[in-house]
Amino acid sequence: MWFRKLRLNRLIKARMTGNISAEQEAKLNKMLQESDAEEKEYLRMQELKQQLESIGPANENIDVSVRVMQKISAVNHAENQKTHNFDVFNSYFNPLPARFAFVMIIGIIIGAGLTWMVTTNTGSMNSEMLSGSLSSSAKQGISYSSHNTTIKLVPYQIENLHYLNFIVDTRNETNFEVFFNQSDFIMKKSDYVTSQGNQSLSFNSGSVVFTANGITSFQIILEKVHRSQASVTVKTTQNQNNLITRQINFD
Amino acid sequence: MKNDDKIRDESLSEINSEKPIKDDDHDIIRRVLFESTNAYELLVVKYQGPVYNLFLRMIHDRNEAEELTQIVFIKAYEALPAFSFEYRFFSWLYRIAVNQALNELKKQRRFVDIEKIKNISEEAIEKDSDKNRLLQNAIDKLKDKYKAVIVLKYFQQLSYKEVAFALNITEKKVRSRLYDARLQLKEMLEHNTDYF
Repeated sequence: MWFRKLRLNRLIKARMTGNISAEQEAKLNKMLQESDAEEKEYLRMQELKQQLESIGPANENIDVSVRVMQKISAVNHAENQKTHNFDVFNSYFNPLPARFAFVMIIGIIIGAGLTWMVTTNTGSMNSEMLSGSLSSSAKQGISYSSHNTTIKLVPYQIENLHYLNFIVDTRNETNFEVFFNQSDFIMKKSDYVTSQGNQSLSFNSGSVVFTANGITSFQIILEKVHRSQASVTVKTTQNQNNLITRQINFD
Repeated sequence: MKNDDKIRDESLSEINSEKPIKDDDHDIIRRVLFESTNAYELLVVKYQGPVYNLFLRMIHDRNEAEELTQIVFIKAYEALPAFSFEYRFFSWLYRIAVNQALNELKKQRRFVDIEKIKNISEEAIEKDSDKNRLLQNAIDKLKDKYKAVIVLKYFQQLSYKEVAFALNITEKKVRSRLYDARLQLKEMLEHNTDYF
């Protein structure tokens, strides 16, 4: 019985939702003819549908347009006010790169501040370690410039190691000779760092000879074997003409 | 034909067609977005009636319906920059209104006995037959999702496609839900009233 009712409901639903096949239609008609109660059920569903369709739309009138527009105007005003308050920021920092740059500058300032604080507070710099280094030895360095040759020698010291860094920019081949006393220094390194032109390098006891052409960077590292003062002599020639001869003292 | 009916019929005929939508409202929307906010008033005047009547049918409180109508138009205005011109404005507005009504019903969980409603139009009550009143009373006792589909289909006389759009479900689901709603109404009216 319940199965028949379920089946009937399915068929009625199929018909009323417009999804009924011809076969189902025939079955439904047959079932409705067989039972007055079921036909009555179906007719009630139809009646209800018609009743609903006859109700029609509600048609009460209303006018909220003025109030809606007033509220919208208030909303717009509030938003404009908000925008106005941020005008400076938006005008100057609206493009993304500007914002990025702004944030980066702030970051650099903060970073610099923190670095200063850390280095000031810790005092971890070993002045002993840097004695005679770039700042003090720079005075003893070489700085030479003519219309086609520039030579810089920057000596510095870390503990008992003495660094001689040559930076040369020349159109003419320039020869360098560095002399030292082997009882004062042991040579740890002597080589080109960068060189555009031909490289020529030779060692003798207590001397290093090298050639610079174009832009050249050359480094010599000497280890001082005692604590007394010792010196290194640098001689520079170009076409066998002497350009510089300088003695550099190391404490 | 009353103004609201005319709007509904125009909406109905166009949303049912597969042609690209030609909607005068789209021009108004462009004006609102790019020229003048004031143009929005044209849309409010045009659709305030249908939206208000939808709320009236769902909520049964004039003051509340009026308030909700305003809220819907303001929400629609705020969402207008995101409006997709592939839709009719009316259908889109209806979707916002239906969601608002369903949220309101959920919030209040009200099942209002139509006999007790103070704010309902006297004129409307007079026009209702006893049968209609019983029916309306039963509709108010339906679950929100069934009530919404009945109101949209029979009271607002939207097409299946429009109801589907407003409720964000398929047309097939609309037909099925409508049938289920009618079946529940029939059972309520059979057991509790002398409707039949």
